Amino acid sequence: MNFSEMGLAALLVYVGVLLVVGEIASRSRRDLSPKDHFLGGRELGVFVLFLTLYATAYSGNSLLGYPGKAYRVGFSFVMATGFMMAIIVVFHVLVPRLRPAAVQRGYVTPGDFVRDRFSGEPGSRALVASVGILMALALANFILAQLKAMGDVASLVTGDLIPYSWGVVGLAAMILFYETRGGMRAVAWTDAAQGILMGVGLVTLLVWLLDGSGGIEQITLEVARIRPDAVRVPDAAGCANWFSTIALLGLASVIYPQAIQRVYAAKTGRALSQSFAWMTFMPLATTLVVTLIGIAAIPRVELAAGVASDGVMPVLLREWAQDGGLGQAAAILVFIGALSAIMSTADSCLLSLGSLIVRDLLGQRGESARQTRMGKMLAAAVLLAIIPLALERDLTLWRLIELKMELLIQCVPAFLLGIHWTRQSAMATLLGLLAGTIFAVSLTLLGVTKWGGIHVGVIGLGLNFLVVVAVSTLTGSSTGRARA
Amino acid sequence: MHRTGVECYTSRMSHGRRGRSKEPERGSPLRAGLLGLIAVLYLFSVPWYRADDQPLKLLFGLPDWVAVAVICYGLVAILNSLAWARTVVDDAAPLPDTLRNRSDDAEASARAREAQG
Repeated sequence: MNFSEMGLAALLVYVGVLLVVGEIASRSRRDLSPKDHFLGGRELGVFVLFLTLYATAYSGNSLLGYPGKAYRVGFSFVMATGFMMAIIVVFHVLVPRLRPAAVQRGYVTPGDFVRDRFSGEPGSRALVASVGILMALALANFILAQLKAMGDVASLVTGDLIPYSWGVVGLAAMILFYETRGGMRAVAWTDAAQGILMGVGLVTLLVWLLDGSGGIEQITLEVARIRPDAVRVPDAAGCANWFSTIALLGLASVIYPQAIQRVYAAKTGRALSQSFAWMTFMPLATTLVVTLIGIAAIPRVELAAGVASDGVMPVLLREWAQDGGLGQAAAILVFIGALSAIMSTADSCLLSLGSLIVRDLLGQRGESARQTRMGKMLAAAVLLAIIPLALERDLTLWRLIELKMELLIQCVPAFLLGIHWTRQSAMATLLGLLAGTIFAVSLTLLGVTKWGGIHVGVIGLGLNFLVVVAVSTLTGSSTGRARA
Repeated sequence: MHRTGVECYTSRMSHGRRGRSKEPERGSPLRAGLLGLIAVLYLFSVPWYRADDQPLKLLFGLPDWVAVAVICYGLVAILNSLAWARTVVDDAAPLPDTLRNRSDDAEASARAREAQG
């Protein structure tokens, strides 16, 4: 059996397991309410919660986009370890206050918090809708990136026995099936299995790379010889970009709808804090590893800049597989691990998107099975709409991440500031959100993505905060005034 | 009416729910100190204080500025894990002022409607 046939067999086994898990999860459901479908009945314990947080946070972007970026820019992409860890640090600002409110007030989506926080104030409905639209766009973008990565991996692992387009369509259909059947339970359980696969696969690959390249010191010296820029200390703009990227991803990722819904879905607050205590180490075991993999590839393979460099991980894996025997099996394990990471993120996004459209955009609340059905159908419709876009292959995965974050980060004041500052008003938050979004989107459309190394989304967030603080101070919310 | 943190704490004590806990995100100088140290480590992880034309020096097989960043992030992971271990996320805790007043307002409105009705 050659590599392609082994890959195809492994892929079919993997997909079969996912379908079985989806079916078991479907039979484990308590009822058809949105809480049960979208939050798994708030029953996720420490182990499953930790693994689902892990598998959701580390996606196709991490497995394909990050090594591609490290391959392009070199050692300065060690910043990725910092920004992935920053997410778990920034959660300190939000989670201890949001979680009790979510349990006591029965939140299902991020918009439920915004609605509750600013209820009865002028502009609150428009604010909920605006936050919902930005989050839906970010989720759709995220799903798009995952579909592209899924198609790539399916094509590579099977040696094009499954072409890119079939991979995109077929695997999207699989996700839709088990996600609509089993909801959050299916997603969390498959995430748990996918997280384990991904972790084992990555560490195995790094060990092979270090072993075959004479160790990390040898790799550094080779990289310095071939591409001196890749080992050079970043200049002022590079350092500004480092800080900006930590801010962009650290802040925006905290309000990922799928991350917030896992905060809601935890069995207890204690399970949540224990999961975060473990999650904080995962950037060292995952992001740092994929960064080193991308850097180790610099002396080994030659790829064009841009989209082609996202293929650095698959190219390494195919090289590994050529060793035959154990190398071939290990390469397939990593491929399936990568696919797991991608699918686990896509399924989480899809689940969040369905609930978000129904509750935050269409304003359907309550606990009826009809809302759950509507969420499933709308998520399916969005997925079908995104698939044609995924068949276009002209943006790097890293650029897709940045675009998504620059939108999502404009929702930060509604959550991180809104949960702490009583005087903050709905109208001020809405104006800030609009100012930041218009600023960031306009500059992006004009082709300006950074100023002095700082992302336009981060500058937009600064503007957003200024507007929120100024308008709230001048006008203040009704609650704030009542208290004053 | 707004209640102070002390009143909230007393209220929880009297309800017997969380005799061992303080305010979930406040009241732990150790936790605040850990978060402060994390901020300092983030500041030093970025090599803004280094010349960008210095020759390559290795530390643990990596360029020295990369090794410093990795060490900083390793320490951040340890400190953040300790900080989460010190964080009480109490599902039954009183809601923050930003939300508690909403329920107070809602209850007051409901009472007013009842009175009018």
